[in-house]
Amino acid sequence: MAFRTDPAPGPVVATRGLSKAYSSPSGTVTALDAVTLTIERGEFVAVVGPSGSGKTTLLNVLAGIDVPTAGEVIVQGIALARLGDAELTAWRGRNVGLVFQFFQLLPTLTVAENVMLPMEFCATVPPRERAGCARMLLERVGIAGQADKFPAFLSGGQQQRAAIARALANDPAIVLADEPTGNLDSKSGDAIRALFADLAAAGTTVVMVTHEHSIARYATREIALADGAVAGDRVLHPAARESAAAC
Amino acid sequence: MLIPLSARKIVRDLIAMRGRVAMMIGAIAVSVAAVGAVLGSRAILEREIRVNYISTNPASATLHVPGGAKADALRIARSRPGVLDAALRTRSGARMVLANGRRVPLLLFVAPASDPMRIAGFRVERGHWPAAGDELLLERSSLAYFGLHAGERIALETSGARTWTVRIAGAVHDGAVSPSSQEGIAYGYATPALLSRLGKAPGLDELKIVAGDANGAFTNVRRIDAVAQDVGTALRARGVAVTRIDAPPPLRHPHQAQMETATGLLMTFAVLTLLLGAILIATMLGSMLTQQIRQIGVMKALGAGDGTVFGMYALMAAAIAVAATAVALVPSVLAARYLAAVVAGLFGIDLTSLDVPWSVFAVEIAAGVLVPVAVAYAPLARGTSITVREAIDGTARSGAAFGTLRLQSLLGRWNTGNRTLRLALRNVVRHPGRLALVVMLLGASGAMFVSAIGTANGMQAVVDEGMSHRRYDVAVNLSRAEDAASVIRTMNAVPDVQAFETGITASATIPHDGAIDVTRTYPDGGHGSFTMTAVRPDTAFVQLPLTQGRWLRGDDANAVVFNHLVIPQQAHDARVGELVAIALNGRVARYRLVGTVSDFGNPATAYVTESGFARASGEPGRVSQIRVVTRGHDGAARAAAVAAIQRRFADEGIVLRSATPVGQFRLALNGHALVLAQTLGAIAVVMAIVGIFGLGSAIGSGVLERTREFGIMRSIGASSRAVAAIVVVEGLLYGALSAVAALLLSIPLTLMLDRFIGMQAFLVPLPFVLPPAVVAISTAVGFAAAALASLAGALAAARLTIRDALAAV
Ligand SMILES: Nc1ncnc2c1ncn2[C@@H]1O[C@H](COP(=O)(O)OP(=O)(O)O)[C@@H](O)[C@H]1O
Ligand SMILES: [Mg+2]
Repeated sequence: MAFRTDPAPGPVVATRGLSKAYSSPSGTVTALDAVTLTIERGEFVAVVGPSGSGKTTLLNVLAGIDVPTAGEVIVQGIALARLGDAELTAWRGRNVGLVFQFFQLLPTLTVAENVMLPMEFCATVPPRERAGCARMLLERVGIAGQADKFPAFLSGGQQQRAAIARALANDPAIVLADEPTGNLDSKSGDAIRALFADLAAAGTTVVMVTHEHSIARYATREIALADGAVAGDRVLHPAARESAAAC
Repeated sequence: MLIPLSARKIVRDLIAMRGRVAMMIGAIAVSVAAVGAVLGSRAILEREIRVNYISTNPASATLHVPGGAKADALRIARSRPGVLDAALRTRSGARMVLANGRRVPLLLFVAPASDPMRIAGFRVERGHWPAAGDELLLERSSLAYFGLHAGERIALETSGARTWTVRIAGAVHDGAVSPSSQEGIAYGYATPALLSRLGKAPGLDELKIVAGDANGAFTNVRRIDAVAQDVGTALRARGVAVTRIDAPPPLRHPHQAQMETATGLLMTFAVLTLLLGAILIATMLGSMLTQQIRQIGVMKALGAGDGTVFGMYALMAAAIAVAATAVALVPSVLAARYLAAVVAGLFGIDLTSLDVPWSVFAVEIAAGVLVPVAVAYAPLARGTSITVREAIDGTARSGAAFGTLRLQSLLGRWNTGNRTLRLALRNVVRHPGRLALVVMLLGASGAMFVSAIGTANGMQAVVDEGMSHRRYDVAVNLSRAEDAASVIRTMNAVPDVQAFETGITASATIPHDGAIDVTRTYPDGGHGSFTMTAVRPDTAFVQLPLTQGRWLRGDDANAVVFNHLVIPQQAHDARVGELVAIALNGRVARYRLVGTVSDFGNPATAYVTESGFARASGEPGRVSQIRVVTRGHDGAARAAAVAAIQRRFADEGIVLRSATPVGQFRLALNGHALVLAQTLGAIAVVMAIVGIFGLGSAIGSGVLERTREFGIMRSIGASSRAVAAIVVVEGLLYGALSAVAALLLSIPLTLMLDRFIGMQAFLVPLPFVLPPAVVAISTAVGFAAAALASLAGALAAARLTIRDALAAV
């Protein structure tokens, strides 16, 4: 299903001198400090660092959820600063898949309906094909059997898989996940990490914030943040570069 | 069928929140039903007044031509510009003797057999018109009220106490008269032939005209007056005497203004209730958005624009409003019919149909759907326009952190005493907007309730005051002025009379230079009338409170005292201390207005001394009114006295117009006060229901918003009872604040209602009465309701397990 023009050549994400400062009653906090990065297609980047080091802020800025105080973010050749609010929302819906620590499924929609929701919001898949698409995505994350249940009836790990399937609904250029395993037992966590590794291997770019050490087994690259600045950036495994269409 | 997921979500969310949704629907439905009921009853009443009154084609004015006019008077009148039609009629009085010997006043409307009855008509319901010379038709309310039947024969008594037997030939419906049940008199319809048979002069002394132009009858009093004066002047130029013109308010039923006042008042409160209810729903939806803030954030992160998300929640508001309106429709029709029947009964309007016009449904649906959605617009737009960032943080505009407001920080510093109360108090002030709304609704309903009773008490006080000024037991009116000496002799012979006092009264007008006198009296001769009454200045029987100036003195041949109705109804320019001209039957006399009194229950009256009266009437030593104090003062004693008086006067050949025990007057006024209080009370109950629904959903929302908080409290050792107690105490605090608001509001509201209703009904404000017992009882009821409303929320809070509570996202 080609609802997005072919990816622009060059990196999926490029940032230059990215800074973000918060002013609060107790003074100004520098959450990001001149971060310059490039992330290539198919990479599985693990962002690590102590609490408060700016990991979430980085992800939010990449998703266009937060606006940097300095520097710029270019995703697939598009400078986010140039998009207006409504454009940014539409762009994000089609190009960014977001996964949060808490599972964030809408409680009154079934798992399959949750997965179809981005297709409806962004009008990416014709209405009659959405159910089939959702089923394929759920198969891909291994919970096709739970498609018609409400989120409350799923285990934490299953809910997070559903959230990942939903993040993939519009075949985004990049999946951003903020501590997606932070609330799971280690077994479920490992399964989710493996799922992300599979997605990345199939060509989806994944940036994942995590605390777990076992990430080293799955990610292709690890960026360490400290006080908002990049303190380390190393390749763990070479990234796969093959392409895969969602549906 | 592919239903959009956003719609599916909204429907399922509504189902998930069914308890609170039901409360919101209830609140809106009750207030929409109230609006519909008032609108519907108003529409029914307006239409029925038209059917009843306007369809009789009532005369714009009646010119009095004493002695009777000839047919050429009719021709002259019809030839004048602005006269659409004219007719010659007369009125006469007699008394009907009922089977039990009771005599009731009969007002006879007389029209010649040749009259086409195009104006000032009536509808013949049984029998036929014109009636034969020994027949009369009766107004159907007279038949019903006095237990008579068409075809029966009945005795009529006239002056000289002679009796004639006539046949009741049928029943008519006359929309222009107030029903017998209200006025206590009978209305008959006959031809001049009957008058001749009763030994009365058959002359037609009332020339009735309908003034108007190509567009129909005039509705402007000045234009009607101008036409009537012109006709009168033309008649006088041909030698026809014209003594007076009666031009009542055009095309308005005698009770129309009162009816409009009553329904207008109800409408105001119904709309107020709907608005408050809608605002409350809007806040509840706003609080629901706060709960769903993360869901909104997720939807936005998935690509939903502001418009999409707003649309979803607007759909939710619309669904609630539509459901509420649907629920309200049938009850509103039933209530409209009930209300119309009550008001119609009160004001003597005959209801031929109870159909509620479609336009009322249209307005009701529009109000029920659009008002809540419109009011919800702002909070929904605000709640759905949050950024993904704010939503994901979950900190977004769910209100500033606790402690930001001055009151909150003050409460934060209070940390001794009962912990439950402290916590509950802090929670209540957490959402100042919500608090204000709930307090406004509950406070307003409480205030309404208290004011309804207060106003009813005010009316009661008016009745009591009116009664306290009538220090006699029976009022007797003669059908014409009689020689004082013979009346006094007759009265002296009545047993069980302790004391009596005579006076004289006659229909009066305020003359205008060069013009024929005009009154605003309706054809029944009562509504809108103006009389001059002679009283003894030192009378012990009537003591009317002075509102200005002084009362009459023994030597006051030139002084007049007006009761409270004269200046507003008859003599707008009169000032105390100035001279006023008053005419009796065309004879004008000038008096100095020395004071004004309040005089509930009487029509507009100018009080003068006997010598003052004689200056206008030219006939001293006459009596037409007797006030009697009987030995016993109960109903039986008074009734016995009435019967004895009627017998004595009949023996003497003196005709009574009426002999009425004063209790009757109290009964009528009490009835009015009761209906009014009931209607206000009903609206108060509607408001209270809306307020309680509102409180219930406010507390429900509060509990849901604090699910985690309660979980944490439970995890650190609070029992489920302790958690439930906090919620109930919260409800009671809302109740307490509302009670204070209700009390503060009820004082100006009662004053306002006293003024409004008093001015409408009596042309003076009602006295302010607010019994402490009423305040205490309504406060107690309010507290009980608040506790009840918070019970559901308390149970929900108590049922929360620590696990559920902490897992809530
Ligand atoms: N909305 C905000 N306002 C003020 N300071 C913030 C805000 N969000 C984050 N911060 C601060 O920015 C720094 C980085 O935060 P964050 O990106 O959440 O770190 P991490 O995800 O690595 O724990 C922290 O010091 C945090 O306190
Ligand atoms: Mg973080």
